[in-house]
Amino acid sequence: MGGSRKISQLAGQDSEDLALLELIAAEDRDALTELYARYHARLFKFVFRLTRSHSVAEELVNDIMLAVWRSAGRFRGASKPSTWIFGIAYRQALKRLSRKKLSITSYLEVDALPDKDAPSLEQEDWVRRGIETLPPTQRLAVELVFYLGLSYDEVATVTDCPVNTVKTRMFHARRKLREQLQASASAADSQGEDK
Amino acid sequence: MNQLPQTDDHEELVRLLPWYVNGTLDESERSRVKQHIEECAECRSEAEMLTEVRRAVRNGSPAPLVPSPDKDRLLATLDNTGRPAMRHTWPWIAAAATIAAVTITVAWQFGPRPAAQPVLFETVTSPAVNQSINYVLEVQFVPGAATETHGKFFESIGAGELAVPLNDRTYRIALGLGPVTLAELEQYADRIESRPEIATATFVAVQLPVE
Repeated sequence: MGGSRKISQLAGQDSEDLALLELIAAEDRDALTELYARYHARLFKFVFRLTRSHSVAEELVNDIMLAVWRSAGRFRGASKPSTWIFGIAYRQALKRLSRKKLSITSYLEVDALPDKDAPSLEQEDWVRRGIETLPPTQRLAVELVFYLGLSYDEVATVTDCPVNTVKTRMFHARRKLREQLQASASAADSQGEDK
Repeated sequence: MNQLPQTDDHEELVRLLPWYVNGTLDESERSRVKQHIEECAECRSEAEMLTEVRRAVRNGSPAPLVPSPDKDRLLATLDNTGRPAMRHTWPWIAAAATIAAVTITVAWQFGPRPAAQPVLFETVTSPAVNQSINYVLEVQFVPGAATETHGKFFESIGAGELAVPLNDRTYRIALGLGPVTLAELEQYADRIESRPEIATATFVAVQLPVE
């Protein structure tokens, strides 16, 4: 019962988004601001997680909506409107992360890197730190799967990649995270022995 | 219990673990993974780790204070860029590109092609750089973009058909820009990248003039 109500609500939102996209394709500015209002918070939270900067996140959301404005006419309904919009968000975020390697580094809290006198980090902190050091495509895959909770088909649509590529990216991301967690566990062990 | 996963199923199912953990597999896949996990220690351990990853991602850093949607800013950006963006915002770059592309393309067709280099923006940090420097922009079209789309794009930025193809969807154009700042270069690449037919646009090299 609850499940079917949820599906019906989603379908309703999808059809409203679709109607807005059709209006945007006809250059209806009110429709764009309406879609912007609907997606602003979700998009902002998503890109903020990746950039850790309010100003950059706001700028990215603006860029995403601008791309929606320009390409709404190309949307053919092959995916849900939200998947299509997050596909644009993915590409914008990937471009930003790929180009500004120095900026990405600066987002990391370098003063919190492991050191002998620092208190040991909780497991979740290590995991988060590990995710931040993944290559952009793998990091975004992890965010799409675990933050947005997308299926592999949806991730493939958002990233415009074959499903096998998506699975391979997650496979490599998982392997790197595993290695990092093992390294952090060793570091924590030796920290304990030193005390 | 089987400690040594060795079936073909293992290779297939281990790659489904992230989606088993996020709960988006269909019933048939979910049940196959669940049964496999009960028998395979390696996959059980992987699933536990991925559950930890999911928890860390979802509990991650505190939710940001989301600003109110700034519709005025969005509409102002729209007014400033319009459709297509290049013609209104970057006429001076488009004009410069036309001139530079002619010169540099001839050089590239007959001379040694410059090796691709990583973007070295940190070397271009002065407020304004010398006018005679050429910036090599590499653009990659989205898969499936028709050849005529490529041509229309280059026309729209004033480079005509003079961009140098590296493969079927990647080209390089040398832009002889006037005094520009680092931020302007990045904004320019961003504008190019925001176009639906473009997958990436990156300045790959700074080409000093030949004396």
